[in-house]
Amino acid sequence: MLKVHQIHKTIEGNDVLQDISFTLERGSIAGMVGRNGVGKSTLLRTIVGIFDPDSGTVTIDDIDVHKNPAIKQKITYVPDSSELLKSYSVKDIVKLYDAVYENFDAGYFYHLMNRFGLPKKKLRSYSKGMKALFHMILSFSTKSEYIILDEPTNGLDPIVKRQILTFIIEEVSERNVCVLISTHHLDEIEKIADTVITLKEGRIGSFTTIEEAKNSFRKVQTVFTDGLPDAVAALPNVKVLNTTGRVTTLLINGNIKESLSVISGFEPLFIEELPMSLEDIFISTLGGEEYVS
Amino acid sequence: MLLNLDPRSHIPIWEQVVNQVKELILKELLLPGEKLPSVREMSSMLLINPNTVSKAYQELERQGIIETLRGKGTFVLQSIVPKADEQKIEALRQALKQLVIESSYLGIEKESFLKWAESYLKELGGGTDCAESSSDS
Repeated sequence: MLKVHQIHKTIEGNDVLQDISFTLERGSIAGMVGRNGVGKSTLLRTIVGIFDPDSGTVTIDDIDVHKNPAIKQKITYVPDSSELLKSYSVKDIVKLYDAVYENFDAGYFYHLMNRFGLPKKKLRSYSKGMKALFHMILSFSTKSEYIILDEPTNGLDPIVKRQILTFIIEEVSERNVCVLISTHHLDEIEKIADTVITLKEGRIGSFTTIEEAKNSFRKVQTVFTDGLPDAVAALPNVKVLNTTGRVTTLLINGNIKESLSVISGFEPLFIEELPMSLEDIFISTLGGEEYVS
Repeated sequence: MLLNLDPRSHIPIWEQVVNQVKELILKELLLPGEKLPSVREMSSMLLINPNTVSKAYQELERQGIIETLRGKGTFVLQSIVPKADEQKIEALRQALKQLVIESSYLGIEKESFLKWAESYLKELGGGTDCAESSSDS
C-alpha cells in the first residue's frame, strides 16, 4: 500500500502542493490528471523521494520513503523526458539498474527487448517511441511493486502507445504491481484506470473510480421554446457547456434524477442524453481560467 | 473474441462486457463448455483494466453463465439454468413498456413491432431456456 498523507510542498515561496492525501493498492492502476503547472510532476517527484515534502509523509507498507531510503527499492519512477541516460549504451544502463535495484531481472529485461524488437545500441540512436518503450521495459524489469509514470505516452504514435498500454495491463494483471500514471490523454485513462485523481491548484480535486465519476455526471442537450430558463442555468450543479441557437448543452454534476426532473418541469421541446467522456468532466471541473499557469 | 465497448456510454464497462458475453453465448458464437480468454488476455486485448474484466467475470459467474475452474480457466457453463431475478424482470418489463411508448409515437405498427420482437427472439434463441435453444438449432 502506497500512502500519501497530508503532503505540503513550497517551492520558491509558492505553495505547489497543499494537503495531498490518497492511498493506492497493489494490483491497481491510477490515473492522475490536471492542467499543466498544477503540480503533478512535483507530486510524483515527492512520492518517489526526489523532493522532500515540507510536511506530511509518503509511506510504502507503513515505511516512510523519506526517512528510510531503502524502501525506494519498491518504487520505480519514469520521468516525462528521459534525456538523462542518453549517452549510455543499453548494457551500461542495465549494469546501473542491476546495481541499484536488488531484484532487477536482466533476463526478463532482455526477453522484453527482443519481444519489442529494440536494438542493443546507444540510447542516442533510439527514436522517441523506442525510448519510451525502453524506459517502460527498464522500469518494470526492476520488479518494483509501485511504478510511477509521468506522461508515458506523450507524443507517441498509436502503435507504440498501444504496445505500452498493453504491456502495463499485462504487468498489473500478472504481477499485481500498482501503476500511477500522470497523463493528459484522458481517453487512455478512461479505459485502463481503476481510479482517477484530479489535481487542481496544488490540491486533490477528486479521487474517484471512473464508474463513480461517470455516474455523478450527465451531459444533456436541450431545446426550450424561449431559450434556457434562468432557473435552470442557476442550478448550482448544472453547467452550461455550450449554446448554439436554441440548443443548449448542459453538464449535470450530482443529483442527476432531481436535476433532470427540474429541467423537464420547464417543458423543454427536446431533451436528449449525450455520450460523455472523461474529457467533458475534466474540462468542466478543472477548466477554470483559459490560460496555462 | 471481439467486444465492442463504448467508454463514453454511461453503462459501466464491466457491465458492457457482461452484456456482450451473454449476447455472444445466445448467438452461439461462444459455445457451452468453451474457454473464455483469461483476465490478462481479455484486458490486454480490449485495453481495459484487468479489475474491470475480473468484475465482469464475477458477475457472469454469479448469474450462473460461466464457471472458473482453478488452474484451468474460465468456461461457458454446459447448461445455463435461467435464474428468475424479480428485480431484473421488473426492470425489463419497464424497459419494454418504454419501447412500446416510443414506438407508438414513431408510428410503428403493432404488427412490425411484434415482427421485430419475434425475429430477435428467433435470432438470439431467447424466449426459451438457453440450454434448450442451443440444442435445437
